Amino acid sequence: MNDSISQGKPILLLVEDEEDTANLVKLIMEDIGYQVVPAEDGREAQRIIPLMPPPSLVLLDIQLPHVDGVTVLSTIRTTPDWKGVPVVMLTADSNERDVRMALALGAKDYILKPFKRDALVARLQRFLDGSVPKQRS
Amino acid sequence: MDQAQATPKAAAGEKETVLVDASFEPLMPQFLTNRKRDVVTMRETLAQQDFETVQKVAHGMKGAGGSYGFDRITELAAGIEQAARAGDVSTIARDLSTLDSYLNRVKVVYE
Repeated sequence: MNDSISQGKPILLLVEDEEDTANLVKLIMEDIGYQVVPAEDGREAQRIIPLMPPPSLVLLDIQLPHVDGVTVLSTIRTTPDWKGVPVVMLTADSNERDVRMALALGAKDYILKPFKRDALVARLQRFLDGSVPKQRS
Repeated sequence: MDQAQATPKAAAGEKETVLVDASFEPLMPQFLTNRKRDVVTMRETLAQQDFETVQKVAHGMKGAGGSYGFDRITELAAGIEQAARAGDVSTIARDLSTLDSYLNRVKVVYE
């Protein structure tokens, strides 16, 4: 895992099972200078978390197959070096119970799907560390 | 659900133009192919009364559609998801028809 991560770019771990949404977030965030590490479900996220350095940000879908987003968030919060990593939840439903639980477990924010490109970037950049990504012209 | 009724435009088979962010262009062929595949999947699973799969596919489509600029896809998918939750076959079938027609008529213009 570490071998596939290039140096110098801030890393975003994206946990999203819907293929087209994942492709879109990846395209948007790479376009402004981030390196996106995708995980297609919660189980894959739990597999790779111990294998990679802490990212600048995790964008985590709530409704995931196998292992849900709230459980992945718990894993993140108990993984050494990952405790301070900002996590933003992604959800197609404003399911208050899940969102409340995620925020109680330390998620910084949540984003509703569908999202607009500029709104997604603006919301995520608030939590990305001191790196200054390129703005699209 | 009036929004899902066939519009005069749809009846006439006219193209519906959707403005899409130009940076999304590389993803568009796959996005549209996957939506057509979703319609086929939902029709097949509806025939088997597999509402859970219909709901799951519609849920994914609801989140992706508007993010790519296709608010109409999100609107129809949300209706299908809700109808699947209620086991409402006729509404699902009608909305799938509308969605299929829309996907065949949509014209993407990059901005």
